[in-house]
Amino acid sequence: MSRFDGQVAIVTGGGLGIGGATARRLAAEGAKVLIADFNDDAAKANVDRIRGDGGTAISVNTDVSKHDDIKNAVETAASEWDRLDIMVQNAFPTDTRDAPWWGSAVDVPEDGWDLGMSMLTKALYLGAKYGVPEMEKTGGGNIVNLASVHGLLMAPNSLVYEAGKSAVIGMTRQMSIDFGPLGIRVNAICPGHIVTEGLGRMWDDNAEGLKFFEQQYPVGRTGVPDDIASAIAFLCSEEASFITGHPLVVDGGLSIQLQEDLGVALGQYARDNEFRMP
Amino acid sequence: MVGTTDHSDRFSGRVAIVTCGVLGFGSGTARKLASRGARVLVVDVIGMTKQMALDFGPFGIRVNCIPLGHIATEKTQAPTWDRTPGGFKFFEQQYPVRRTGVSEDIANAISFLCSDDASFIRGHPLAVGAG
Repeated sequence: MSRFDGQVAIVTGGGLGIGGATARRLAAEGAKVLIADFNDDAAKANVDRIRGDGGTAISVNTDVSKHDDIKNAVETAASEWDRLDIMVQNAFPTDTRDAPWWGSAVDVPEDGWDLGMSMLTKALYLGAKYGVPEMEKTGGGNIVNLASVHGLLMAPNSLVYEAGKSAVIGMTRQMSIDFGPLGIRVNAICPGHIVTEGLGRMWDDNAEGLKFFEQQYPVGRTGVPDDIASAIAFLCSEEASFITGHPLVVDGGLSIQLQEDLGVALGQYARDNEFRMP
Repeated sequence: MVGTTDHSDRFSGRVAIVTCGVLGFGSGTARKLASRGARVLVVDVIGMTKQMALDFGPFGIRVNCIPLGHIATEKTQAPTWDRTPGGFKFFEQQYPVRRTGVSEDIANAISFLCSDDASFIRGHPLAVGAG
């Protein structure tokens, strides 16, 4: 498939994980991709990988908690390739359990809230603020915001992430109304647990723990970055031209289950199997 | 003096099956029928989809659904809108994308859901135009 020939895409957090896979998928289908990531090594490695596969990509150091970085990423894509068609707003550090935004409303310091929410929500507003006018110049485009199942169902001790991902869904829906008449569709993806390079480290020496974790998934497995990249590519394609404001849940069926029955099933599995809790 | 007509037993003894009867038009319809004596069975396609996805997922069978917006088909377009193109344009203003759907929009979404690209999507109502 070459659904994005001639198009230009920005993928924030496009060095690794979901963003990395998405950057590769869009490039493989013809898009020129700007990887906006604060991890220069990962970003450059993915650029090299895309180029090695015959695609077109560049990278720009981007911290999505910084206004000027987001503006610069959009300006760089537009000046490099004279257009902007796709923005995948994905960046958020995942392998950071000691970061200041984790915890309950009592635990989280104010600066942890500010930093976490700036990346989860303000970055999406700024991305649209600068990206939409560029997309308008060529008659339209697509924005895909990364939400999460954590925006649908709430985990304990995670105020900022749950609130932020909930807000992503609302922002997506609102933006779709504002920008639909401009030919710009805005959708979201709600991934379940995706084993990325970062998150995968928690399972490296705990295969049995992962197997327990997978029992929560009707599909019998956790996700991989390509699961999300495929869904993003669909939403950005002409095949989805009548879909906007939609939070597409890609979670192996995790969030459709009644907790009571799932809890009993997990308890039975835990009783019958040896593993270390994740 | 304005008279009133009592319709409270208009559907007494009747059985109604209302699909998509949990919310929206379906919900209103179900309540109206019940208030007029009918026995009402509410069938929620989205609920059924999610439940089937749980039952059949372990067998490798994916179950998803597609809530639709207004889809202009051969059967609906001519009788409904051809006589009033201005009315149709007004109708389209409801849609952020400023158009109603066509059959291919649904076919494309179904094609995606049935493909390997959607192998991690289960029990999901993929709204095509419902925004």
